[in-house]
Amino acid sequence: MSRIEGYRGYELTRGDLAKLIVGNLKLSLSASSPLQEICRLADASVPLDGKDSAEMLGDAALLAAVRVLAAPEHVLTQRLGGGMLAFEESTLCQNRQVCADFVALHLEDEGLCLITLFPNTEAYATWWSTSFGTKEPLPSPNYIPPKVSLSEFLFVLHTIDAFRRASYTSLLQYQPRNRAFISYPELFDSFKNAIAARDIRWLLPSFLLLMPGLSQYPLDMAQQDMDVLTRMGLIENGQTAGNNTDVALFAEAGTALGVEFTRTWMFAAGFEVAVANANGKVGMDHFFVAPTAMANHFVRLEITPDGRAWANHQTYTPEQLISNMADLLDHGFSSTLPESNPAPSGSFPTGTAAFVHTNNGQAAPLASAPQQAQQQPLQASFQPLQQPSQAPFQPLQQPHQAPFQPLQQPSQAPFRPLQQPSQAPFQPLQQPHQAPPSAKPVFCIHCGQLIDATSRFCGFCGKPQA
Amino acid sequence: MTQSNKSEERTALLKSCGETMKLIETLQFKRLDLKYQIIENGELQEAEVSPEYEKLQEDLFAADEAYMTYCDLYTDLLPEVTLSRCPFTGELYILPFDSFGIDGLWWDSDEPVRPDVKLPDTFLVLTGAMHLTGKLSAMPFIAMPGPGKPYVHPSVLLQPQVKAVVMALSVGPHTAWVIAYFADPLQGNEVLVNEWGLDVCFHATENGDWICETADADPDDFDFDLAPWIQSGKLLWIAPEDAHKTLRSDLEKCPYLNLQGTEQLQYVQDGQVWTNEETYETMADDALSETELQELVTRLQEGAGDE
Repeated sequence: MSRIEGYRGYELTRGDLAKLIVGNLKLSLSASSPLQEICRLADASVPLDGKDSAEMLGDAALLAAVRVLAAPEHVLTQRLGGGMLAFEESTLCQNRQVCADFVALHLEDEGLCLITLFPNTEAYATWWSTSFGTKEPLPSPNYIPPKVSLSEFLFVLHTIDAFRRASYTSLLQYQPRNRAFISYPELFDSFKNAIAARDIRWLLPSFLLLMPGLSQYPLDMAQQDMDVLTRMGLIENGQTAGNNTDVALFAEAGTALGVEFTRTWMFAAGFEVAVANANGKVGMDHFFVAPTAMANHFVRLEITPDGRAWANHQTYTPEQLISNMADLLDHGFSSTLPESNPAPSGSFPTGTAAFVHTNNGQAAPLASAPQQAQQQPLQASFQPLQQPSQAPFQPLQQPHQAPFQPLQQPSQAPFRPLQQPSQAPFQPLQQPHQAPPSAKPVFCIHCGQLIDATSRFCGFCGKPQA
Repeated sequence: MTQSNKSEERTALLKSCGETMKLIETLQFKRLDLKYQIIENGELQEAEVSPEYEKLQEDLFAADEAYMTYCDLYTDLLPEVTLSRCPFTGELYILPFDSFGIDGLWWDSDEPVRPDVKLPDTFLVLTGAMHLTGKLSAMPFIAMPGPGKPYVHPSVLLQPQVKAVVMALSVGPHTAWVIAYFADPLQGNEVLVNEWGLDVCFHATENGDWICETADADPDDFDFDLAPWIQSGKLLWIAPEDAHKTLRSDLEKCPYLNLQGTEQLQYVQDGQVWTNEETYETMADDALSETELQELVTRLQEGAGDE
């Protein structure tokens, strides 16, 4: 065991932690404990012994932290990844009956567990902002101001990705453009593909996969949801000069966001604050943060009493991120379950989605969740989208309708064979100056510059050729 | 009731209301004259119960009653107008608002008729500007529609938790710009400015009470260059007649930049319009010199000595 410098925390191996919990302390884990997986180790029941054991068992703060992790009252789940970062998950737990601290658990790849203690939510938010957030202190325009329905928001995220696609395509095709655009079929097809591919290097899949509890939010996608893109100045209709094809031109807001995310977005994080109960946990607050060099893009999910899901997007400075994240965590960590639930009584917060996460990994709406939200959490039907030119569009399979697959890290994702360059149709390179392909180039024997084959002297260094 | 019927009913109501307001003013002046007469004669007690004074009181009371009835009827006719949207929560800011014209009692700067409504938790203050065109209000009260083009209050907007939203709408024949300020979190100690059309602002206290104060309203402190505020993310805009009231932050399509119009505060009364600049000039022209002021003070002191 070692202590973490700069924070109140510990670094332990998974084995040692499992043995401490099961073998030494003989703790029984609640259904919501993030230690479940660790304690399934075969030799966990064997107690720790030796010097390390004495040190651990004598550390009251560590023992309290472990007890919190074993039976938390509230659990914050954080999924980090996307952009340039691989997927990872960590938790922040609280149990006021055990200790006042908030206890974070992060499982590292090397078989180590990091346990960090935070005295309050502001300390956690400060740590998060310092570690992952933008450092830009000046406010930034919010090009996706509230309110945007969840389905509209997905289109907005995809439009940012579409700008990235258009930029990369322009780059790869050696076709610099004054104004980025994308064809409507490509815009729609890439939307479908982005959801199907689950590639978190892109923003839309990142949001879908990194948000714990997202799949329980009602999603009723319709063609008119696309209107938000023109309404907010993300795209506008245009035509290509040559063949008058309808294209989506990236307007000011779309370009600004597109450039920002193309150049400076590295990763994102999804959060769920849940209340523990006997069967698992109930998600109360859900939010998403995508830091860039310009701003912390902060998205809070909400459900209105009419059962509609909304995304409230804000651009926060570090100071605003800390304040708002701490407020949201305070709200979530002080939430209690409604009376109809077997766990502690309390009122259901208006405008918050509540879903039960059961032990078998399935999710079910909470009995007292907004009535209409219960009616259609997973049965949302997708209306086919049509581009302005009325081209038919194939219905999209929602990720929520598909059976849930365990999330795969980018490196573990099934690899599709890449088309070999040699198999691709090859276009012969055209010679500069339209020289006949058969003409053999002649170089100066002194300076090495390409010269006319009939020349007796080099045009560059002036020396005679043999 | 259709919008057209409402407008006609409102016009008739305001005509009667305006006459009543003028009547009240006349009666109040008469009462003052009578009172001063009474004071000079030293027969205050007897005069108060004189038939003439009693009749005056009765007429005034009846006129006040009529005015209150008109106010109630007017309130019922006020349409609910979406004036803005909170940039933090997305909540619409909807108010019973007189968009028919500034001759309505909503615009009475002295005694505005503005029904109480539940405001968004993040709402801070409502300000505005107006480009006056066509026929001006002939009502006897003073309306203060603000400068002739949109602007922001830097002192308010520079606060980190504050953002503003500008939106255009028609108020009768005039083009108005609503500039609403929101704060998240609303801390209660924000720098405030006077509400649109009034010379007061409202502070909510910790126990939920409201305190009414007068803030400085110097147009020199206004900033009419909106572009930097939009670029910094502090000012958002809503396109005119946008049914969705979608908040925008882009600059290229913003229709509220570089507009023509006076940067002075405008005042409208009895079909006349003037600005604060003109008022100050008039005051400067009529200002007393030191000598004149001293003479006036001496005369007053002598008069007081005689009594």
